[in-house]
Amino acid sequence: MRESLIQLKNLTTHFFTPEGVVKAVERVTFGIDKGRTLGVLGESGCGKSVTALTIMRLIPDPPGKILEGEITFEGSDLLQLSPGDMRQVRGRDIAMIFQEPMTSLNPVYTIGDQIAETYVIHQRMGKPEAFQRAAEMLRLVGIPAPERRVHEYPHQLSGGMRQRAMIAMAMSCRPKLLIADEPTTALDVTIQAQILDLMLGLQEEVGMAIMIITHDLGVIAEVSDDVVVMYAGQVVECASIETLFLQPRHPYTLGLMSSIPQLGRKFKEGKARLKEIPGLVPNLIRLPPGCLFQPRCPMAFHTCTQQRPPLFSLDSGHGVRCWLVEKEARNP
Amino acid sequence: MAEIPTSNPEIDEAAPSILSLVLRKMWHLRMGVLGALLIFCLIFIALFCPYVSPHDPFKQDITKRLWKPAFMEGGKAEYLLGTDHLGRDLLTRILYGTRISLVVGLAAVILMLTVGVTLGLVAGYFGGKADAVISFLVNCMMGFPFILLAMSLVAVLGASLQNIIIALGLTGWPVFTRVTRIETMKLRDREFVLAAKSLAFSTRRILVRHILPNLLPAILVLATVEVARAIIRESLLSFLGLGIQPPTPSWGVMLAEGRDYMLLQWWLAAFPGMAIFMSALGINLLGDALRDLVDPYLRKT
Amino acid sequence: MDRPAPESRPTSNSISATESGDDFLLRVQGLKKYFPIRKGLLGRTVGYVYAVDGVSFAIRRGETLGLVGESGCGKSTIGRCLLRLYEATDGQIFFQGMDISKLSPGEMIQFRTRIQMIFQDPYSSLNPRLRVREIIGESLRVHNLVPQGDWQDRVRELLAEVGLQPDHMARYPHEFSGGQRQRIGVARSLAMNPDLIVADEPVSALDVSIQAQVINLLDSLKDKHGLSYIVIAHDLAVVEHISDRIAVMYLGKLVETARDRDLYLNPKHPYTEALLSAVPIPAPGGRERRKSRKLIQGDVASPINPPSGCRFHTRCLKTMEECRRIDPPLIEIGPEHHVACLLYGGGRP
Repeated sequence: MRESLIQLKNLTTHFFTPEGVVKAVERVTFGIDKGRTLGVLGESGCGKSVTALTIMRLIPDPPGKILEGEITFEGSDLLQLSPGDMRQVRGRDIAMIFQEPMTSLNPVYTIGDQIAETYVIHQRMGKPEAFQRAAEMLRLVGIPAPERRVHEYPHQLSGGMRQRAMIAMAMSCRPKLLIADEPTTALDVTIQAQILDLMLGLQEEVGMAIMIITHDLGVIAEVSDDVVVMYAGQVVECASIETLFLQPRHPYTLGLMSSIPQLGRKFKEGKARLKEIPGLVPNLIRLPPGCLFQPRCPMAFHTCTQQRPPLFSLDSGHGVRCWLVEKEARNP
Repeated sequence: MAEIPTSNPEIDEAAPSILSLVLRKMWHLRMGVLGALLIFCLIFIALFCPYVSPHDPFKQDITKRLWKPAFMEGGKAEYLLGTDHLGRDLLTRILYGTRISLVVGLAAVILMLTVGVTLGLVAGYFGGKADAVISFLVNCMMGFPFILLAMSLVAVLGASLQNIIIALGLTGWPVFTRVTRIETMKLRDREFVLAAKSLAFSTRRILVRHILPNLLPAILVLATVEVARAIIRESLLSFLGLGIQPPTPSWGVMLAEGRDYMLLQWWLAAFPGMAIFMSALGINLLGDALRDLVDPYLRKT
Repeated sequence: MDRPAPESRPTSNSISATESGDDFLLRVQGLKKYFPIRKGLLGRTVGYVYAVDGVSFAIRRGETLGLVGESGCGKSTIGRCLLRLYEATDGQIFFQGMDISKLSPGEMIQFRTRIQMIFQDPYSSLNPRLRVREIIGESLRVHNLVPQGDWQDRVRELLAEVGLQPDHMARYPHEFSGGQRQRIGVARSLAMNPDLIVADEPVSALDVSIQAQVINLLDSLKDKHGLSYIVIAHDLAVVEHISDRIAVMYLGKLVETARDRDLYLNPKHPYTEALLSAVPIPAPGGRERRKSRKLIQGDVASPINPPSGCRFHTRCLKTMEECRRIDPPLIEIGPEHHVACLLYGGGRP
């Protein structure tokens, strides 16, 4: 029986810049169940990181503004919480790790200091006990000789180690939801495999949900239970991982899948050119009328240029924002 | 942390009118616009002071000495800012002083630029011994107090407008070398410089066509600030009697002349002082705005 | 000297003074590149970064060789040595039979027209102060590659070839997107009419949906101009798609080279196996794949202090006692398939 942990509804975040309004996230709706992993797939500018920051309410204001929407987490709307209450949620219930561990770890404090800080703040522990817990966390995330490492500075650790330290920091309060924004993009592929394994192992142990944001379809395939595909600030497709790979419907998803090189494909299917998606990601200030993907879509027809499609619902929670599926959709 | 998403330049779409973008930017940098206005006034005055000044800056008239400015009781309208101890109109002398300040400021900075940027390019691009020698020189010079150096130079060369420019130029170049060197070192490893090398371009071409133009933003900002500093330094030297000699109306000279009358005829020193202040302020404001304009551009590219 | 006397395009024979008679376009032998680490006021050398430590390979005309490996393996350094952007510490590089470290200045210019590079970062590989037509056309003018006055037409041709609009040539780089800038970089290399292009991470800084555009572009240009490529990348899927042969590097040395098919279906070196299994595949069944993966532990060792013997032995799942002492040479175990691993021989008794 799946229980919903967090539910986003019509989330809208815009940035008001001198050049115009950047519509970074537009009416985004999805949910994550307890103990499950949601993959958020998209390229730069699609709004995936801004969505995560919106959940954490870390959007700089100005120039950003959360204009609309609800984030239901454990019965309350995160967007309505006071700053103090939100701070409690952040770090204790929802934790976030980022792409570049070098810039998200403070270079002038030791790893131990930074991990211990969460214990001191959120669990009101004394410093020495907090440090001991920090060393335990480092051991939990697979850093060898943790008692020594706990006194080291970020620059003394390798990229993989730093990311593990970040995970240790994020896990220290046993969060219910871990948001990971491109956690392995800056890492070598063998290290990436280790880190993904670590995250999933911790998930099993602790029963937390993971929201992993990435542009790498392979990573999505290996860690997600459900997937949300984002483009130009909107959700264009959402489905379980099996459905996404076996029955992708949105032209962008289809385009992505046939345009990325896959190991071994050319031996099975013969060497063929990659099917590219022509054109560029749209300018978020001057969005096209009609469907946002239409200028690049090989299957666009007249309605696509006129009206923005809603997110149509197909069977078993498969949502597709495309006029092509209108006939099969269940919702009006 | 994710950055604020920037929009992708879609070249074929129509942008908002250039005018509205420029106006918006100008409001954003309104302090800089103020600075630019001040400087524009300065340049205008420097060029046209013979036509704008009410009197002759050198004409002495003992009968009219130490008259109060027009806005004070007992002042005369034809001498808006009063007269000095030799009966010369203060306003006219201040206006003519603009010429001195601007000429000295610009000329000195041009000299600093020429010497400083060349040395900086050599040190930054070639490194090794050349860098060691030049950096050592820079550090020595920056350690020395400016006054000492300038005084020595003037003592050797004699005090005159030309020599002040030389003294300021030869003492002010190290900061340009420092900045140029650092920027050159950063640029040297950028991929477009490697590309230029791989295209078999000569070192001279790479330095002049590829590295130098990319240094310009940083140097330009520094140059505007240095003009302000040069103006202030000229005033200081002239005040000390080491620069422009009376009766030439340099603001620094006027400060020196007005020093003896500070108690009662305060305007003799106050107004030249204000002129120095406004010039330096205008240049600094403009320099700040230039830096704002240049920095995001640098970061974007 | 910027302007050698204008002459007709020389054929490859006029460069080589010492033809060694092989039909390889490029041959690298025992290439080493060490970077000294200096510390202190006087800049004493306290150690070295052994970025490339004895690498040998060759590439034929019309071939695409992929050079793949993780960070610190030295692949980018090799690329720069091939263009003589770095001077090799040891070893030789023969381009069309000619030892490139012994070229006269005139021959250097000719060499530079033959081998070009595409750089990784589209945001720093173009001079932001020059217009696109200058960026692409500068080499045409400086080296008199086209008759005076025709260079702008040639720039338009090149822009069209890489899929950009010719009338955009008066624009500046910052007006283009990342993928478009990368295309400009390609056009710039093509202007010199090279035989070999070294592509250093050509698509890793681009969005996924743009990568395919650039990969396809490189493919079509290869067929059209008879180019040879050396593609340096860390993304194994990209390298495998685009290459005819692949060389896998670890910590400054080659561990395996093979034809693309052989590397994928029949990897021999434990590192190659680990790499192949670590690459996440965008297909259903990810969970099961993850469970059956042979995970190697630990981090990549440092090129400043590489492990003794076989560099990979500290992380290898099949390491033996000799591996700590003996550095395995690259030996041939099949047609065009070489491995440097004691499991397949090469250890001294």
